[in-house]
Amino acid sequence: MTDIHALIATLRAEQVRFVVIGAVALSLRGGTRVTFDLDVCYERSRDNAERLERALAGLHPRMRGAAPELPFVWDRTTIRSGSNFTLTTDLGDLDLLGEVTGLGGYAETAALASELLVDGEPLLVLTLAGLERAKRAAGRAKDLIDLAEIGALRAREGEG
Amino acid sequence: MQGDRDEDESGALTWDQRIFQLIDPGIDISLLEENLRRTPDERLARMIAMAKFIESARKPKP
Repeated sequence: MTDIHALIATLRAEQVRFVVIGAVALSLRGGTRVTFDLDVCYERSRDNAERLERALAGLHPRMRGAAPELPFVWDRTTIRSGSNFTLTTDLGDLDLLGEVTGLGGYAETAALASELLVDGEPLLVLTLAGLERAKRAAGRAKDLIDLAEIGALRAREGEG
Repeated sequence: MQGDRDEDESGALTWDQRIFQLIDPGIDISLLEENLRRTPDERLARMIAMAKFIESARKPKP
Protein backbone atom coordinates (compact mmCIF):
# COMPACT_ATOMS: atom_id res chain seq x y z
CA MET A 1 0.00 0.00 0.00
CA THR A 2 1.44 3.33 -1.06
CA ASP A 3 1.97 5.76 1.81
CA ILE A 4 0.85 8.92 0.04
CA HIS A 5 1.37 11.16 3.07
CA ALA A 6 4.92 9.88 3.60
CA LEU A 7 5.83 10.27 -0.08
CA ILE A 8 4.59 13.85 -0.08
CA ALA A 9 6.48 14.53 3.16
CA THR A 10 9.65 13.07 1.62
CA LEU A 11 9.41 15.34 -1.41
CA ARG A 12 8.63 18.34 0.76
CA ALA A 13 11.56 17.63 3.08
CA GLU A 14 13.99 18.15 0.20
CA GLN A 15 11.95 21.05 -1.20
CA VAL A 16 11.37 19.26 -4.51
CA ARG A 17 9.30 21.42 -6.86
CA PHE A 18 6.33 19.29 -7.90
CA VAL A 19 2.61 19.36 -8.62
CA VAL A 20 0.29 16.57 -7.49
CA ILE A 21 -1.62 15.32 -10.52
CA GLY A 22 -3.68 12.24 -11.40
CA ALA A 23 -6.17 10.49 -9.16
CA VAL A 24 -4.75 11.86 -5.90
CA ALA A 25 -5.27 15.38 -7.26
CA LEU A 26 -8.79 14.43 -8.29
CA SER A 27 -9.46 13.02 -4.84
CA LEU A 28 -8.15 16.19 -3.17
CA ARG A 29 -10.48 18.18 -5.45
CA GLY A 30 -13.49 16.10 -4.43
CA GLY A 31 -13.48 13.12 -6.80
CA THR A 32 -14.35 9.62 -5.63
CA ARG A 33 -11.91 7.45 -7.58
CA VAL A 34 -9.56 5.32 -5.52
CA THR A 35 -5.92 5.03 -6.50
CA PHE A 36 -2.95 3.05 -5.30
CA ASP A 37 -0.15 5.34 -6.36
CA LEU A 38 0.93 8.97 -6.33
CA ASP A 39 1.50 10.85 -9.58
CA VAL A 40 3.45 14.09 -9.60
CA CYS A 41 4.81 16.40 -12.27
CA TYR A 42 8.29 17.59 -11.29
CA GLU A 43 10.38 20.47 -12.51
CA ARG A 44 13.27 19.29 -14.67
CA SER A 45 15.90 21.82 -13.66
CA ARG A 46 19.34 20.62 -12.57
CA ASP A 47 18.85 21.66 -8.94
CA ASN A 48 15.40 20.07 -8.73
CA ALA A 49 16.82 16.83 -10.14
CA GLU A 50 19.36 16.91 -7.30
CA ARG A 51 16.60 17.48 -4.76
CA LEU A 52 14.62 14.61 -6.24
CA GLU A 53 17.66 12.37 -6.16
CA ARG A 54 18.22 13.15 -2.46
CA ALA A 55 14.54 12.82 -1.60
CA LEU A 56 14.15 9.31 -2.97
CA ALA A 57 17.67 7.95 -2.52
CA GLY A 58 16.87 6.27 0.79
CA LEU A 59 13.65 4.73 -0.54
CA HIS A 60 15.35 2.37 -3.01
CA PRO A 61 13.46 3.54 -6.10
CA ARG A 62 13.30 1.06 -8.97
CA MET A 63 11.34 0.89 -12.21
CA ARG A 64 7.95 -0.67 -11.59
CA GLY A 65 7.44 -3.90 -13.46
CA ALA A 66 11.06 -4.14 -14.63
CA ALA A 67 12.98 -7.35 -14.16
CA PRO A 68 14.93 -7.11 -10.87
CA GLU A 69 18.17 -8.00 -12.61
CA LEU A 70 17.92 -4.94 -14.87
CA PRO A 71 20.32 -2.29 -13.62
CA PHE A 72 18.75 0.96 -12.47
CA VAL A 73 20.69 3.74 -10.84
CA TRP A 74 18.72 6.47 -9.12
CA ASP A 75 20.70 9.66 -9.52
CA ARG A 76 20.50 13.09 -11.12
CA THR A 77 21.95 11.73 -14.38
CA THR A 78 19.16 9.17 -14.67
CA ILE A 79 16.58 11.82 -13.82
CA ARG A 80 17.98 14.31 -16.33
CA SER A 81 18.35 11.61 -19.01
CA GLY A 82 14.76 10.46 -18.70
CA SER A 83 11.52 12.28 -18.20
CA ASN A 84 8.69 10.10 -16.96
CA PHE A 85 9.42 7.38 -14.44
CA THR A 86 7.02 4.81 -13.04
CA LEU A 87 8.72 3.85 -9.81
CA THR A 88 8.15 1.60 -6.91
CA THR A 89 9.78 2.67 -3.65
CA ASP A 90 9.91 1.55 -0.04
CA LEU A 91 6.90 3.85 0.51
CA GLY A 92 4.96 2.53 -2.46
CA ASP A 93 4.36 3.44 -6.07
CA LEU A 94 5.30 6.86 -7.35
CA ASP A 95 4.96 8.13 -10.91
CA LEU A 96 7.25 11.04 -11.70
CA LEU A 97 6.30 12.95 -14.82
CA GLY A 98 8.50 15.54 -16.45
CA GLU A 99 5.83 16.06 -19.07
CA VAL A 100 2.08 15.62 -18.73
CA THR A 101 0.07 14.74 -21.83
CA GLY A 102 -2.14 17.64 -22.78
CA LEU A 103 -0.46 20.05 -20.37
CA GLY A 104 3.29 20.11 -20.95
CA GLY A 105 6.13 20.40 -18.46
CA TYR A 106 6.21 21.61 -14.89
CA ALA A 107 5.70 25.30 -15.71
CA GLU A 108 2.58 24.64 -17.77
CA THR A 109 1.25 22.16 -15.20
CA ALA A 110 1.95 24.47 -12.25
CA ALA A 111 0.11 27.24 -14.08
CA LEU A 112 -2.98 25.02 -13.92
CA ALA A 113 -2.49 24.15 -10.25
CA SER A 114 -3.36 25.83 -6.99
CA GLU A 115 -2.42 25.24 -3.39
CA LEU A 116 -4.49 23.16 -1.02
CA LEU A 117 -3.72 22.69 2.65
CA VAL A 118 -2.63 19.08 3.13
CA ASP A 119 -1.06 17.82 6.36
CA GLY A 120 -0.94 21.40 7.57
CA GLU A 121 1.10 22.73 4.67
CA PRO A 122 0.27 24.15 1.24
CA LEU A 123 0.50 21.59 -1.53
CA LEU A 124 0.43 22.45 -5.22
CA VAL A 125 -2.39 20.37 -6.73
CA LEU A 126 -3.66 20.35 -10.31
CA THR A 127 -7.01 22.13 -10.60
CA LEU A 128 -10.16 20.53 -11.98
CA ALA A 129 -9.60 22.50 -15.22
CA GLY A 130 -6.09 21.10 -15.45
CA LEU A 131 -7.25 17.58 -14.67
CA GLU A 132 -9.94 17.87 -17.32
CA ARG A 133 -7.45 18.97 -19.94
CA ALA A 134 -4.96 16.22 -19.07
CA LYS A 135 -7.55 13.46 -18.98
CA ARG A 136 -9.19 14.61 -22.18
CA ALA A 137 -5.81 14.53 -23.91
CA ALA A 138 -4.86 11.15 -22.42
CA GLY A 139 -8.13 9.71 -23.70
CA ARG A 140 -8.00 6.35 -21.92
CA ALA A 141 -11.10 4.41 -20.90
CA LYS A 142 -10.47 5.15 -17.22
CA ASP A 143 -10.31 8.86 -18.00
CA LEU A 144 -13.88 8.82 -19.24
CA ILE A 145 -15.42 8.31 -15.79
CA ASP A 146 -12.98 10.79 -14.30
CA LEU A 147 -14.09 13.33 -16.91
CA ALA A 148 -17.71 12.79 -15.94
CA GLU A 149 -16.86 13.45 -12.28
CA ILE A 150 -14.70 16.43 -13.14
CA GLY A 151 -17.52 17.90 -15.21
CA ALA A 152 -19.94 17.49 -12.31
CA LEU A 153 -17.43 18.93 -9.83
CA ARG A 154 -16.71 21.89 -12.11
CA ALA A 155 -20.42 22.58 -12.45
CA ARG A 156 -20.66 22.74 -8.64
CA GLU A 157 -17.50 24.84 -8.48
CA GLY A 158 -19.28 27.32 -10.76
CA GLU A 159 -22.27 27.34 -8.43
CA GLY A 160 -20.11 28.12 -5.40
CA MET B 1 -3.74 12.08 -32.36
CA GLN B 2 -4.23 12.81 -28.69
CA GLY B 3 -4.38 16.56 -29.28
CA ASP B 4 -7.37 16.08 -31.59
CA ARG B 5 -9.36 14.78 -28.64
CA ASP B 6 -9.47 18.18 -26.99
CA GLU B 7 -11.81 20.26 -29.07
CA ASP B 8 -12.97 22.44 -26.20
CA GLU B 9 -11.64 25.69 -27.57
CA SER B 10 -13.23 25.32 -31.00
CA GLY B 11 -16.63 25.14 -29.33
CA ALA B 12 -17.33 21.64 -30.62
CA LEU B 13 -18.23 18.83 -28.27
CA THR B 14 -15.22 16.97 -26.93
CA TRP B 15 -14.91 13.20 -27.38
CA ASP B 16 -16.11 12.50 -23.85
CA GLN B 17 -19.05 14.87 -24.18
CA ARG B 18 -20.11 13.06 -27.36
CA ILE B 19 -20.04 9.75 -25.47
CA PHE B 20 -22.05 11.21 -22.60
CA GLN B 21 -24.72 12.23 -25.09
CA LEU B 22 -25.15 8.53 -25.82
CA ILE B 23 -24.69 6.98 -22.40
CA ASP B 24 -25.23 8.11 -18.84
CA PRO B 25 -21.91 7.99 -16.95
CA GLY B 26 -23.84 7.14 -13.77
CA ILE B 27 -22.06 9.61 -11.53
CA ASP B 28 -23.39 9.69 -7.96
CA ILE B 29 -23.71 13.42 -7.40
CA SER B 30 -24.51 12.95 -3.70
CA LEU B 31 -21.05 11.40 -3.14
CA LEU B 32 -19.38 14.35 -4.85
CA GLU B 33 -21.42 16.81 -2.82
CA GLU B 34 -20.46 15.00 0.39
CA ASN B 35 -16.82 15.18 -0.64
CA LEU B 36 -17.04 18.87 -1.41
CA ARG B 37 -18.17 19.50 2.15
CA ARG B 38 -14.97 17.87 3.42
CA THR B 39 -11.51 19.40 3.69
CA PRO B 40 -8.78 18.16 1.30
CA ASP B 41 -7.23 16.24 4.22
CA GLU B 42 -10.54 14.53 4.92
CA ARG B 43 -11.01 13.67 1.23
CA LEU B 44 -7.55 12.14 1.03
CA ALA B 45 -8.08 10.21 4.27
CA ARG B 46 -11.30 8.69 2.91
CA MET B 47 -9.67 7.73 -0.37
CA ILE B 48 -6.74 6.08 1.44
CA ALA B 49 -9.10 4.21 3.78
CA MET B 50 -11.00 2.89 0.75
CA ALA B 51 -7.77 1.88 -1.00
CA LYS B 52 -6.66 0.01 2.14
CA PHE B 53 -10.00 -1.76 2.33
CA ILE B 54 -9.81 -2.83 -1.34
CA GLU B 55 -6.24 -4.00 -0.90
CA SER B 56 -7.08 -6.04 2.19
CA ALA B 57 -10.09 -7.57 0.44
CA ARG B 58 -7.90 -8.59 -2.51
CA LYS B 59 -5.44 -10.46 -0.30
CA PRO B 60 -5.94 -14.21 -0.46
CA LYS B 61 -7.66 -15.53 2.65
CA PRO B 62 -5.86 -18.28 4.58
